[in-house]
Amino acid sequence: MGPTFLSQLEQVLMRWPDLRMQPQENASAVELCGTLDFTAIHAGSPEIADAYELSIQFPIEFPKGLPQVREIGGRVPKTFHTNPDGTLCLGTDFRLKMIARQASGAVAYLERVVVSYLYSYSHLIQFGRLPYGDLSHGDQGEIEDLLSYFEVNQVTIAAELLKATQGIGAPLSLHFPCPCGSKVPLSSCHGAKIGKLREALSREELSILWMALATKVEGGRRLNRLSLLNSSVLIASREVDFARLYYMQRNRPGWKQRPAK
Amino acid sequence: MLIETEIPVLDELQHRLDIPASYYEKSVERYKAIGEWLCREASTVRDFAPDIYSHGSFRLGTVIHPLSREGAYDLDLVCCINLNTGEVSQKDLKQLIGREIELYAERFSISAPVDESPRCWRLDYADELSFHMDILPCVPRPTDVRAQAQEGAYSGSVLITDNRLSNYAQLSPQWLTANPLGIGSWFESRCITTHLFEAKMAQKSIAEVPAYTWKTPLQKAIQVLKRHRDRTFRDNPEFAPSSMIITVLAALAYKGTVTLTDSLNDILSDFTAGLTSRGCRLPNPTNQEEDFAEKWKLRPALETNFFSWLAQARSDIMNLATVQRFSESVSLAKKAFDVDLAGRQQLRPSSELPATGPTVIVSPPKPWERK
Repeated sequence: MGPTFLSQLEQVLMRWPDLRMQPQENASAVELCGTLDFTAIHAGSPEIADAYELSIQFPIEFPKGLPQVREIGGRVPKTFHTNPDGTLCLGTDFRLKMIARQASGAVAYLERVVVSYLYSYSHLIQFGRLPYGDLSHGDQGEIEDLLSYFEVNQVTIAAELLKATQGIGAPLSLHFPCPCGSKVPLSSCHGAKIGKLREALSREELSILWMALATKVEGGRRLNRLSLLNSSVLIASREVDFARLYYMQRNRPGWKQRPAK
Repeated sequence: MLIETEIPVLDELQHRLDIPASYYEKSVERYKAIGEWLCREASTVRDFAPDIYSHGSFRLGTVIHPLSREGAYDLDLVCCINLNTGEVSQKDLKQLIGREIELYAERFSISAPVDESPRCWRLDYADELSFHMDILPCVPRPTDVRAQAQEGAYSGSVLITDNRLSNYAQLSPQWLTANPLGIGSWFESRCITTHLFEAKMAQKSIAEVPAYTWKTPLQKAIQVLKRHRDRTFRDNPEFAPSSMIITVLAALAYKGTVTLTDSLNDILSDFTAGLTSRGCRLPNPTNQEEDFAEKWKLRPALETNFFSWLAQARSDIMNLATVQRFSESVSLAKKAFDVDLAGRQQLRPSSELPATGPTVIVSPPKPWERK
């Protein structure tokens, strides 16, 4: 713990003076409780000013760890994008990690993630619809989000693109045609998006994400319920998966063994 | 830079936290009475030249009003008995003084029981003012090379008892050391800024004035921070950083500025500079082997709570500095410090606030010498 945590937290408290730290027996996070107010606008939707009572567990490891947010004023019902543990489901894990690591700080992260969630909910209540849609629950939502991130519409293509983030099996050169089928070199097609994913997520996280998708591609042969929220299950199933993925890799058309040095 | 403008509101806030000089005088009366009791004819410790003096916030001049009206003031006392570790065990010394304090409580009809803590006796004394008196039994530390090396410029180490130690009931030279006088002198040296020092030089005669009468910017800043701590941890005091941690870090970060605002600015900007990353997290400035933050190792949540509190204090004080409307400053002072500033303009218009800094200290002293 040190100056980074201190200044991040200080900026959050300066930005929302009605949030206050609550002493607690937790060495890895600080709890911030109180009112988070905002005035937000989204293209094509009206400006909304609102305020919610929140409890935020802000990790000392931010942006490596992500804030967990609860709405404690009783306005957001459990049926609206809430995780089983009662925290707000602010977005898919990979998306939140990307935002956290690209955002210029905790205030920027909370504005992009928490304010946009609350804006969505206020919009739904005021106008009867969500301003920019939402995702399905569970794995399906994650796949939808990946498709939307890569701007493709086939899961197989998204899986190929995701594989290019990893360096498992054959390294994908930036000069190769993009796996999306555009016939343009990867570097001038999906290269930048792949690069951003690699910057934001660790290799481990990327391979977990890829496996979730690869299992979907395989269809009915799901070995386990792969959820990015439960890494212990993932790591257990990952060992099982590696053999299968290697097998898939070998049978891929055009796959060549890397020459031994 | 944390704070850019002068904020009389902080001075007003500090003024509301501060206790009147008469309370300090009362505290001196209290412990002198105990000293006299220990020296009375029938006293069992009379022959060992008992010496009693204050340490902690009453010594340093950083006492603030308790949060609640019913709250008591903590008066930390050292009770030094002229014995050595070859003559008395820690337990015997503790009991010796404990009995005398119980007799004192009986004699003056103090109904609250005398409580024992690992290192102290606690006596609750209330008449018009309530004090929790924590009395620390100790013996003088023999002066040897190691002691001198540890103390550096700050002599006056004592050996204290601790009933959690395995040799508590045995005659043993292995006692814990403490240097309450040294910390006091060190703190006083940090209070005296260059500016004040010049003022002191200009004055030919230097009155012997105890630190509690000084009211230097450092002392005021510590009062503000202590109250913020009290308010933040009101419902969970077990997570609060100790007054000693706040005092030492503030004194280390203090750069000798003369207004409260500037001092708080410097102190908060550099507050964690005194923390080391390994070994002792916060070494006692008068004994590098003692760690004021030793509890952090056993309970890491304390460190997280300390940093979170610091972020909260920085943001509150900065917000208080930048708030434009009077009503906002009132609500922030209430929320962050539990201080009611309403009506302050009627009471003390900001233009008539007493000047802070060197002019307040009329008799800049040399460090207070104990009798």
